[in-house]
Amino acid sequence: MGLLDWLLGRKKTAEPARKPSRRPPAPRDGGEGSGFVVDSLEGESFPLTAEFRLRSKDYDRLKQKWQRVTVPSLKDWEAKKSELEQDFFRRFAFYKTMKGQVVSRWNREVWEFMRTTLIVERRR
Amino acid sequence: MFRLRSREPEAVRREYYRQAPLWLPPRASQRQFRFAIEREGRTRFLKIRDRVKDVPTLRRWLVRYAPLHAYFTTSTWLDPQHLGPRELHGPGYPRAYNIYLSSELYLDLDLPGQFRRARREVAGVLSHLRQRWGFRDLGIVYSGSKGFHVHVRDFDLRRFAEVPLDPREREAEAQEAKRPIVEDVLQQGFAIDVDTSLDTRRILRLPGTVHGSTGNLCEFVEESRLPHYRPRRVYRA
Repeated sequence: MGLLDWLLGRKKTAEPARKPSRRPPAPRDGGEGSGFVVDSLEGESFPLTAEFRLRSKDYDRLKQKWQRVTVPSLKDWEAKKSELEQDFFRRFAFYKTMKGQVVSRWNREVWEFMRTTLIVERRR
Repeated sequence: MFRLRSREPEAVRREYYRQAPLWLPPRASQRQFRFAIEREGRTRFLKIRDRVKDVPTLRRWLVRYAPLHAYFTTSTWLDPQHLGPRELHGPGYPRAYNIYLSSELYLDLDLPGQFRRARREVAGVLSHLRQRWGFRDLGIVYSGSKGFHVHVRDFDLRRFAEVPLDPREREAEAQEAKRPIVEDVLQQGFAIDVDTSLDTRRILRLPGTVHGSTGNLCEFVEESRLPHYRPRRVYRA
């Protein structure tokens, strides 16, 4: 209700009901339901093709894009995970300043610790 | 320390903020304050619309929202309430809401699950900043969760470079002035978060507020008390 309406004693009319959006909002990347945490691939049937990504346990901004990965057998999983870790490092290990200078985000010890805390997520 | 009657975390926080001693960063009215609040099971960020110029203003907002997390911008801005992204995507004059004024230097030292080591390391960071870089006005803040923040209040861009008149150049210059310090601290083996120190649009947890996920108080720690410091819990999360 505007000031003029209020001064003139006009009553507030009910707002027309909003039309429901035709489509439900798309789930946000990383939101609930977009993937699930993988602790182990034991019990899966191989070769396994699925989308995987790594994300930091502590920093929400540090997460990979989903990558389609084929794991031929259980014993190959560690090697595939290592590839994902290397990609994660390449993607996030450096901070670029406004003037284009590059700064390491982690020293060796911090990266080694960080690597152990990365969470593997998977979606089909 | 406080007599809290309610058991609901949000109500406990609200009650806490009614009487808690609050702290404001220097030139608070030139900063943006942001809250993380929980609505309908989701956490969303809320920019405080007021210029937070004094403690009563801050208290009013904290009591109103009893946020999960409360943050302040590590830089000061001409129009902080309308601070936007560095690159303007929509229509408008890019500098209208992006005039960078100044910033202190902040270091975020995180060592999840290693609190004793974090205490030792933050003491090491302080010592290094004094000896190598000559900083004197330093503050230690327990973050309420995984580690500590160091507030380097006497970081002054003028000591390192000419201060450009153009706000974008000034912002970039401030980043460049901090870069060697941050690289040096990292090379000494301290586990600092580079983004917190270098990103001029970064936010940092506000000392004196509750870390909503842990229930611990984010607070200043006197250096002399650091070796025996234990986090203070407002509620059990």
